[in-house]
Amino acid sequence: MVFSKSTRAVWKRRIQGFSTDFFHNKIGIVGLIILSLFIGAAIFAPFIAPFTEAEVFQYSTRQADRFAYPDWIGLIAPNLADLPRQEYIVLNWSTAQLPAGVDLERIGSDIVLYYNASISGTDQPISVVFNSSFDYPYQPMRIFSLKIAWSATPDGVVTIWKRNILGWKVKAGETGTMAYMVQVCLITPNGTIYDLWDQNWNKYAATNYTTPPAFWSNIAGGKITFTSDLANLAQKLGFRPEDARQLPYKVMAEKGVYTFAITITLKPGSLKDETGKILEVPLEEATGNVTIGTGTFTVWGRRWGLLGTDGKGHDVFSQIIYGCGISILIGLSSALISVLFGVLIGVVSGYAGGGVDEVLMRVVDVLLCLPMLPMLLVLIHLLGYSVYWIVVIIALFGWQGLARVIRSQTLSIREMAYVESAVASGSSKGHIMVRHITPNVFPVALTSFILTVPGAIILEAALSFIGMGDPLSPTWGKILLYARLDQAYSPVNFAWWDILAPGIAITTLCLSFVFIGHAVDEIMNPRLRRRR
Amino acid sequence: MGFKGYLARRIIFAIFTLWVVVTLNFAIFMVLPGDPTLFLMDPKMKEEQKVMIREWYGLNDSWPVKYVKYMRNLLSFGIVPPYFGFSLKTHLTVASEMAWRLPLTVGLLGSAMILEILIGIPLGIFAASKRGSKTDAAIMASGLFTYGVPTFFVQLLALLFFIAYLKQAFGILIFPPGGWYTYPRVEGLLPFIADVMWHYALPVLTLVITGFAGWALYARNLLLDALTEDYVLTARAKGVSERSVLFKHAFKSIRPPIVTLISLSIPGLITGAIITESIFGLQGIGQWYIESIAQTNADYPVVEAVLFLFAFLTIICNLVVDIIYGLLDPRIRVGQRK
Repeated sequence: MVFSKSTRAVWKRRIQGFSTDFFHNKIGIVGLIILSLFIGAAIFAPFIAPFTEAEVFQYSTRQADRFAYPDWIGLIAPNLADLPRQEYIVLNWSTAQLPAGVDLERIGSDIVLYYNASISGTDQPISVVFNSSFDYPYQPMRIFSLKIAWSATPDGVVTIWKRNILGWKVKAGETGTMAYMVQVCLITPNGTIYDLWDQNWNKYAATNYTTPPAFWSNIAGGKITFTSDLANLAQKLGFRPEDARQLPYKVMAEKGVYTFAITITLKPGSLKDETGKILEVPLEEATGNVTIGTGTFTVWGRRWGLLGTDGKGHDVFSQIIYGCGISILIGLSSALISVLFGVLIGVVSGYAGGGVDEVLMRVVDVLLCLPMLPMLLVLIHLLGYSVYWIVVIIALFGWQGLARVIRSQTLSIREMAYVESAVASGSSKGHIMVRHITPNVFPVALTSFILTVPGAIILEAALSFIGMGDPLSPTWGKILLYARLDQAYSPVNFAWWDILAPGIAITTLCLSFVFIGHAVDEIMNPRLRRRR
Repeated sequence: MGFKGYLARRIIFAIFTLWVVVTLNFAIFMVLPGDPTLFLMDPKMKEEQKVMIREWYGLNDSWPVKYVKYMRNLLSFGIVPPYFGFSLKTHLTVASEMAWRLPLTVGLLGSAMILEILIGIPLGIFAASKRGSKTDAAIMASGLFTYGVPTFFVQLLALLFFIAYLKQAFGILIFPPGGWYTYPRVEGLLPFIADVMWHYALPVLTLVITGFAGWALYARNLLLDALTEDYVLTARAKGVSERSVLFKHAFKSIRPPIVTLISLSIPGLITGAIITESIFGLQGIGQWYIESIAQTNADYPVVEAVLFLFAFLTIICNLVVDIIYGLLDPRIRVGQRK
């Protein structure tokens, strides 16, 4: 639309006057500052948030232990100051001595062991022990995990084939010139040794653990990956299965230097022929190598970031940042739709009068005395849990009050001299409504728009909170929903940060709109201005 | 047109509104896609069985027949068969479950609302009489604040403090952690009522905390407007005491708009009940409604019956409020056209 020069001048003056008034209003400025902080956070979310959206919302990833305290917890609770942070401790293996018959080579961070039985001159098992120590000056973590990978390559591999019932030739197994065994143990500062892992790991039944016979592996590699909350690990270490969840409290209870020791035991392999007869590999042929990668010992942090983690170990701060944009957008767009609707209905109803007015106002009356949330839930359920529908549906139930106000304003504007002169000069009804009435109800509409936003934001948050929100959008209400589902407020967890953070975010954002609305209201509707 | 005419108009309007809601409710389920029998049907069922199921649920009827059946079902209020139909989940009649859930919700809503009004309005009057003082400013500020704070956040905070913090730090439990009575049930009627009231204390308290300031603010603004009127000036000039001016002259004139606000706040109250019940685990109507609707196969008979109940309650409350309005507003009472 092209405005004439004078129209532009009028608008320029109006906007200037408005901003002068606005910047003299302290509450308004506070609201504006808060709002711009949120908008800034929404725009620069990928740069502010330490983690990507996928990382903090996917079930498969997590940043720290579940319900980890905020990092600054020590400031308000000194007894929690020495909780562990999230740490990935790299286990760099070192060995004191090598037995004869084993050579060692470091390739990058890997260690390669070359086994040659003819040099050792014996067919008895030879053990090589690697150590890795680290300092652990914290309270016990709730959970740790261990990851070590290795590969083994005997120099000679024999594949044994067998005939099955149908007479087909099938692979019966592989044997190599070298057999090996891997064991991992943890040595605590006071010298207690816990055998965490050996190759029979998967063979332990959870119920009747007894020390199993040594299990020799002939070929290929393997890896150790486990977390400390396994019942059979607790049993293996001599605790009750129920202790699995607090295993680190038992195993890593004291502060000090802990040592992981990985023991590789090597011996000549054995070949089995098709008849099942075992043929020992001659010493000069018993060669092979074993490669051990660096291990990772993960301390799942019980202190994490600015706002801790939620019940799934996701960073709460990142979630709050990603929620900014969607909350502001939902609030603004549904408020915009409902205000446009309210102005349209109000102006048409007020100016057209008669039957149109009667029908529209009865509709408003009916809608005003309907219980809104139940209807809203039915519509959301039927239309689908999408954020677009939720915006539209929230807007659909929010315009009635404004329509009434606009209608009464229109009724009084209609009687103004300039409208009558416009009618006299032959202006069409549509022209009068668009060019004369709408600009005059604009102040009310603007105030109502700003004051509708917090209602829409809260309603959306409430919908998400009762599980009727869009499952794909990262809203603040959803953080609260998951906090509730994961029992954040049970006395055991008491994850106040997971509830306070999104709650305060919603409250501050809404308050900023209330403040701005309050200021705009005082400027636009001087009748309501505070009497000093 | 006197009070009788006014009353008649309000009753007609209430019936009309109820009809609109009920018809809308019917239309939404007719227009929008989705087959309610989908999860009752087994793919292995014979065609005759499927037809029988559809016949049993009356899905082969034409829509006017469905509409009549629907209206008959709703308007019997679940007192006569088919008692609002059967829940698809529990296979009990909807009415039987509603009968024990309804008092819980009404108790929650009623007590919260009455307390809000009883605390809020006197505070508003007090603030207006002390206009410009710190008390006034504090009431204004808390009113603005509660406008921005979601009720469910306050409720979560209450849970966090009273249930989690006090229990974790001091091992005391002032309020019960959830539900509407201690299980197993306390012996005797009076102890049981006391127990239920104890369980209701925290939900009601949080609703009142978030609600009363709005009433105070509203009453204050109305009263301040009324205090600038000429008749107040006249009364003061006559030498009427300030107290008498406040309560006899100004307060009387603001009663009708307050009553209007009560009627307008009822839908919001139901919204509050739904969320409150789901937070505190109170097995009232609201919780039931969410449980029935928040799943792929909604329990449609429950949803429709509860929606009807909510609409009916709101409309009846509005009607009662309208009647009180008519009694309070002299222009209607003595039969003068507004």
